[in-house]
Amino acid sequence: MNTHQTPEDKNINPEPRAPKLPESLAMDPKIQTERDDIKGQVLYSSKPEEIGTEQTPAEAYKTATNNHLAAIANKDPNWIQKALITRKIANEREQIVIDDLANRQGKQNRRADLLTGKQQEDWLRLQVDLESDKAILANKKANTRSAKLNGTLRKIFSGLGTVIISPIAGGVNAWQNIREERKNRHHNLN
Amino acid sequence: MDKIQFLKEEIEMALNVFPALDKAKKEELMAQTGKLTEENLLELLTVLYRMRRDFIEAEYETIKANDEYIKSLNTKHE
Repeated sequence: MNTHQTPEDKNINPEPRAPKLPESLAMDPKIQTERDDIKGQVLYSSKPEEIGTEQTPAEAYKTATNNHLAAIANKDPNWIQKALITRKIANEREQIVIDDLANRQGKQNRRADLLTGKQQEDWLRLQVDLESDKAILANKKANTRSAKLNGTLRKIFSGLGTVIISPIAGGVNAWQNIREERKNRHHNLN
Repeated sequence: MDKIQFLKEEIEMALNVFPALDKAKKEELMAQTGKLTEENLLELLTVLYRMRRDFIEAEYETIKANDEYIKSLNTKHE
């Protein structure tokens, strides 16, 4: 680790590595192994080092949620204690991700504020296009997830003679609300 | 606590992450979870967590794209 690097330095040149999500968490052999092997020692420690100091906040959050799901799935009689601990860790990790995102967005906005003249004009004009692109991407992602969730629900409920229509039809709006929430956080920070 | 009850509470919390999800739909969904097995409830919870992680991943992608754009503007006008 570079001991001369300040937290500020880390945030000036962020290269966020988005974690690759497993196609099917339930079928992921690694997760299955965690479920089978779970003993409550290392997986449920709240020490960040054991979660992985090299992980990005998003990766750490992913690990924490995987551990939490594994703890719930565990057949150990003490599953509840482990589930409560892992839930707490997952919540903490999520908060770290939210703070990290707000911090990165704040720094990005400050960098944009330093643009002048033609640069600033380009930035402002193209932001409109960028927002449009992002909205399209966000819609696509939300719709894909909605479809998957609906597929899962149909599968789960199929034997019950019940039809749930688009339970997450608000997916796109939810996405926008989350973005709005982030934006508000950013404004509050500044 | 009963594991099925625990899972239902987890699902209810996970659904609250999606504020635009219609309240009636949430209630309908929660009412029907009463008929589900432990395995099915876990599967549902897993999907909800994955959706949340997707949202987070997309936020990072957006920031990265914007950073690259600002860099390209600086390069373009240097």
